[in-house]
Amino acid sequence: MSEFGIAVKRARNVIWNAAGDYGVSTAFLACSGNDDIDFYLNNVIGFTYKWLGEDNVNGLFDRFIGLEDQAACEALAWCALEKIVYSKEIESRPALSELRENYANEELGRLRANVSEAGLVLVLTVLYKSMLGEKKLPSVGGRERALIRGLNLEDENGAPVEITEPGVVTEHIRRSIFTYYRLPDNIGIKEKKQLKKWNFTIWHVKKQNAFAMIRDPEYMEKKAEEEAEEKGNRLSGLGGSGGIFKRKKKTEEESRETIREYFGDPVFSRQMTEFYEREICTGGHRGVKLYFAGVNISSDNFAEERSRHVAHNRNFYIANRPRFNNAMKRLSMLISNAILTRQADEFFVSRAGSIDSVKAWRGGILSDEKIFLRKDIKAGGDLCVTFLLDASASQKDHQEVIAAEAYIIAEALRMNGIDTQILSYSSLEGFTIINMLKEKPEGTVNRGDSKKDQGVFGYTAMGCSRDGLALRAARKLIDDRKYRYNLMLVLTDACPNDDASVPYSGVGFQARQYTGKDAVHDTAQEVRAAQADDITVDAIIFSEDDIMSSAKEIYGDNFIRIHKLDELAGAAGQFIQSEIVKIYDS
Amino acid sequence: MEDLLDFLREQDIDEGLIDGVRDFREKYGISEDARVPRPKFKYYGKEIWEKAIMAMLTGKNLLLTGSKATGKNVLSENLAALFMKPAYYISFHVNVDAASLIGADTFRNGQVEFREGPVTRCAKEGGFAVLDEINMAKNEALAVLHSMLDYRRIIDIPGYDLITVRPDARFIATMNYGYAGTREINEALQSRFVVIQMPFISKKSLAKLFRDTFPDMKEKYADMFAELFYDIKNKADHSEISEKPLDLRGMMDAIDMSHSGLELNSALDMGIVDKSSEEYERQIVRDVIRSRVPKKVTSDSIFGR
Repeated sequence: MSEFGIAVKRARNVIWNAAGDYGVSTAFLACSGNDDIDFYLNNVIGFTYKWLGEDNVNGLFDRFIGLEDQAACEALAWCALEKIVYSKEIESRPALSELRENYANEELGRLRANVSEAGLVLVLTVLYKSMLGEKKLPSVGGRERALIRGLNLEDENGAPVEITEPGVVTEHIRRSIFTYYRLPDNIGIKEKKQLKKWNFTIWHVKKQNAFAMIRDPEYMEKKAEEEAEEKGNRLSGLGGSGGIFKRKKKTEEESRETIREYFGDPVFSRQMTEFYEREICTGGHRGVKLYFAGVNISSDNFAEERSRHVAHNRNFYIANRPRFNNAMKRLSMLISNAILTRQADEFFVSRAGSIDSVKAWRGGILSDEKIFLRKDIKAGGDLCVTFLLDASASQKDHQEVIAAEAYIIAEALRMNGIDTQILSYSSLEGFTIINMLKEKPEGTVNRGDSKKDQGVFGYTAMGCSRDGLALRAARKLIDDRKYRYNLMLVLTDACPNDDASVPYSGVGFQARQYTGKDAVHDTAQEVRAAQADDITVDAIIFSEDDIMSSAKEIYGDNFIRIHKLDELAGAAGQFIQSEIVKIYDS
Repeated sequence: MEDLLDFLREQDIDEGLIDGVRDFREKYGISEDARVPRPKFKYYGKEIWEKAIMAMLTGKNLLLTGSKATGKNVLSENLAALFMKPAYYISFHVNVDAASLIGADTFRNGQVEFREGPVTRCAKEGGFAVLDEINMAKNEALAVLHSMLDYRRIIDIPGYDLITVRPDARFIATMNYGYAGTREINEALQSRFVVIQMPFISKKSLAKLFRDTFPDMKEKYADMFAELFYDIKNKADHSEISEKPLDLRGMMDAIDMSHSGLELNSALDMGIVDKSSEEYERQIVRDVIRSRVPKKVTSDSIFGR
């Protein structure tokens, strides 16, 4: 697909612009093999989505998938749609008539070179010549005439048929094409073949460099995933772990081994982990085990699943790179600006230094000695940002977005020379897993290495969330001897819950799980403990539930609620800015 | 300036507010000063006008916030013109200090005199001060304005007089946020202003603005330019491009050059496309233009000559 890479991005931009909707999921792109696009056709695709709706358009073309005449059906459908949307857009887009003319002439030129499929070629010739406004059209047989009338939304007498409902329009087009090819009405629904990845449909291959109407690879991947999910191949089951982590009773070692097979070897030795457990897993967390995972994928049972997952996150970022790069630049500029406006050289009035010409007269007339300016460079702060990501099942549906946003934040901070570490946390089978997606740099080693930030694409959401314990563990991982200032940003739903494992208090029937008020209170205490250690704790809350009171109890005024995950980097930027202001003004 | 009052009536501004403006002029007089603006552009937006006029009539300090090309300076200038008051434009930057605002000692005619700064002059003469990009200055430098902007309405200059701000003097600040050099203004200062978040000009108003600025422009092309501008805005809003090509001044410049005879696409390259520093982004913006603007379009077809 690499030869279509840049063309795909550009084509999507043209389509979104024409559709007026940057969220539309397009099934088609018109690209060539040499990084060029069919500009007019991509506009037509966009207009079609604008006027007829995503469901109707995708639904129409999905009916053609797997048919023997799929390419021909799609070509005919696009001609019909082009005519409809052209008439709707020409008024506000004077450029279209010229573009349409060029397009129709090019298509006619290609058709003349093809002598096979005479019936189809004849129909297409009539349609393209109509685009050019030609009155003298080739004669066609009865079936072809009926097809052309159907595609032009005309009745058997050639009079226009009034259809305004988009769903009825696309259905009319489909029926006209099916009738021509003598296909039964229900074909394409029951006998649909399994979609494969990269299922290209090429219907213009006459010349090299001819434009191809291809299926949008992102759309095809999404369809393939939907198909796989229906067959139960996707992660599902307990907290989104696909049945890997099951409810059946296991020993601690069995659970540890399963976690290791999925998350890879632990970062710390067994002794070190046990040391942390003794230090951290106390009080209401007694009996909970810790697992500190890294970014290395194991070579064991679930390696393929995990690799596929990491690739999915990374590919999502790559597919949306222009948008994310812009967001990264904006965030980096915000941070840089906060540093620069605070780091400006301060000039003080003094008895020595550079003469201030505005005040020079005071020296002679008033014998004022303070007519000089002295530069005083403010020392920079020494800041580390720890980003703690809730990786429980509540974030399952947004994994790739969270990974992308975390990468943006890590890169923006790296560009400004601010050290970061990125951790995620979730709880499974009595273990709280702290996944060290990006570690702090060791001295100057690794500092500035952007590859280290890519560990965030290993972000995986599953299980529950024992927030208080995760905060306590993160606090331990913050080396407060090394940095004067520490900022912890927590992405959370402000709903700590680990009701599937070690109770928070009590035993047997009186056991109280880590949920509700107990969990909120515990998390709030951990936030206060971190603040007492001079760690600033701010939260970015993403939740559709009513969580304001628990958010306030846990984080006080130090949180921002976001309603879309692509606001994450912006929200983090605000907190980072405030921290920088605090540092330089202190 | 009757044409601005007529303009307000066209904008369907509340008659009570228009009467309020008349009463204000009668009470405080009309200035003949060369500083009274004669705006090149009029601000379009009924709701914003009504809020701003009410703020002026009730003696409030007004803070206009919003991104570039939302009309903050246009509205400020229009307000001074409407009330027929001299305008004092003060551009804020990181090195602004009390002296550059209030004034400082100077040596003139053999003696030390106080040279009044623009804020002091405005306060004494009953003008409209436009404090442009107020959040580029340091907060400590702005503290000197506090007594002038709150109920006290005074400027106390150490070693000199206590200046009472005239009752018809007004202070309008503008603020952008997020660009290099900008910062948050502190709450103490912000609480002394009433705030209007300036919205982006609507498509309809934008088309009207184009036709008002270029009276010979055909309506079809005014609509086309408005749609084009919004296409670029949508792309920037969705982060597909940066905000550099989203430049209303650039669009106006391009139309102006086209009006003078330059081929439109070339003019748009200069005013819009080439504001981006990356080739990929320039290609995306060119695609947006190409989907609306014919390849070869003459000035005569746009401007109806």
